[in-house]
Amino acid sequence: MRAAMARKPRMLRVIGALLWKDLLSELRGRALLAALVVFALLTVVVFNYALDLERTVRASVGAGVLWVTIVFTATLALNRVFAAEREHALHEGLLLAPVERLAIYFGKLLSGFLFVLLVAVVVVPVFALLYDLPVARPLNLAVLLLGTLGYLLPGTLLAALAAHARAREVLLPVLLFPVAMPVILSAVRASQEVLAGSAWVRIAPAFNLLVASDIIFLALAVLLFDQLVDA
Amino acid sequence: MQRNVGLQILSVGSGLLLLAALYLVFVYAPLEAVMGAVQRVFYFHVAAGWVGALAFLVAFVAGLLHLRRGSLLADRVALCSSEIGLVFISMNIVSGAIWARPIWNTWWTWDPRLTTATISWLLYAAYLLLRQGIEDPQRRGRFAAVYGVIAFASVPLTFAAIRIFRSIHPVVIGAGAPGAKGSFDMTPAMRDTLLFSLLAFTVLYGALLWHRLRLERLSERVAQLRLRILQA
Amino acid sequence: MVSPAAETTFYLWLAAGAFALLGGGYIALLVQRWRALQVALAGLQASEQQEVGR
Repeated sequence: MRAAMARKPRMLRVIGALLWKDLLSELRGRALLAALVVFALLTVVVFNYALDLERTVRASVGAGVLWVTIVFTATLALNRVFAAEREHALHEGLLLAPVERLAIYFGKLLSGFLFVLLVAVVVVPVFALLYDLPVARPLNLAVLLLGTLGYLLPGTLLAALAAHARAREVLLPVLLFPVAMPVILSAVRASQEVLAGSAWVRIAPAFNLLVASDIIFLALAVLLFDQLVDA
Repeated sequence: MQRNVGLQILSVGSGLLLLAALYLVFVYAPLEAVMGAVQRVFYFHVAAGWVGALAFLVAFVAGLLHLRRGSLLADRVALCSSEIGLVFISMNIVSGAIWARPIWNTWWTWDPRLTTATISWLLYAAYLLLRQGIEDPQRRGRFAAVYGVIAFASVPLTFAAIRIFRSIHPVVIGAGAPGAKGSFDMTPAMRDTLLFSLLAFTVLYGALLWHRLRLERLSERVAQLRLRILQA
Repeated sequence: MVSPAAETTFYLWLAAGAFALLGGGYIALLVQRWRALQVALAGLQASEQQEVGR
């Protein structure tokens, strides 16, 4: 085989290096994170007025607002994830590097996940305050993590795919929203039940489906990401 | 292009089958007692939904084949079948909405089947948009196949997710549930009409797919010729 | 919930129209694309002949 394969860096180290690269370039003055936080806060506030929420429906509608905010934020983050590479013609360089291709996928997945989590750390407490909902329940935090991950799993794959197409910023949500529908629906449902204080029996169907969707999308990404790289 | 006997037979045959199915639907099948004439929408509505699902399945398998073997024919089949599936799913959704207006008293309701059909429509519209957005033919085929596989896999999950939503929420107007509004017992004549409509639509799908594949081949030929002349 | 016969017949014909519009429209689109491609092909072949003749 190729000589480069022998010196192939360990997958985990590569993932770490990619993550570090994205974080560094963010710290060096890319305003993505700040813009995402402000955007997410705006969404939360706008929905509060657009829906004119009453106390009685807050648990069910509030979960929807929370998830729309996360999904919008994640979509914006995804659009940026591969954009930086493309602008600096780094994409080809990355793909030519003797790196396990899956390492690229997981590096990008984790950096996207980290960005959304950083935004959520600011926005979710504000949301809890404004909507007066027990967002910090452990089960709801689990749903938030699993749902965000479930959205980014196909999202990272499709962002890599859309990065080569025309009108990619518009194309990504068009491709991703219908695919991620099971994740969004089950996450909203699970959050609704948790926020309303339901028993586990009522939470379980949505929660289990969310976990199942995560696993299926993970398996698909692992199987298919190779195909996105020119042989 | 040269005459193609097999295709001509298939085209004429599907036309005749469609005419016969129309006769069965409008004349042979009995008038449903409760719903009246509008119930006759049912036969072609189900047939269109079936062909839509079949076309997406064919596109999915063709996409997998393309990823496996790099077969260009498989990629062409995936494109053509998705496009035809989109047309039939559109028929299914529109005719369903028209039937629902007098029966359910509303054009639309977010029931699992309706929502799943709509999401499938969005998925395959996105699939065609993706194909239009990528210029390099090899990359287009591969990327489209990847998206096709993910899209197809997500449809059953979506159906399951909506079921969870609806099983807890009150079902205002439901299909599938016992006592669903607008269900009826099929008489043998109705069943035969439905089966024949399914057959006619399936043959029609085959004919359309063949025609569409020929169109795609011609389009590729024209593109190649244009390239050759530009390079000369 | 029984609708008057005239009303349900109206919706039946509406649905029939929708089927015809979508199916017929798609087939018409295919025919139109086919014709356009034939014209383009003929034009290209003619100009290729010219190239050869020169």
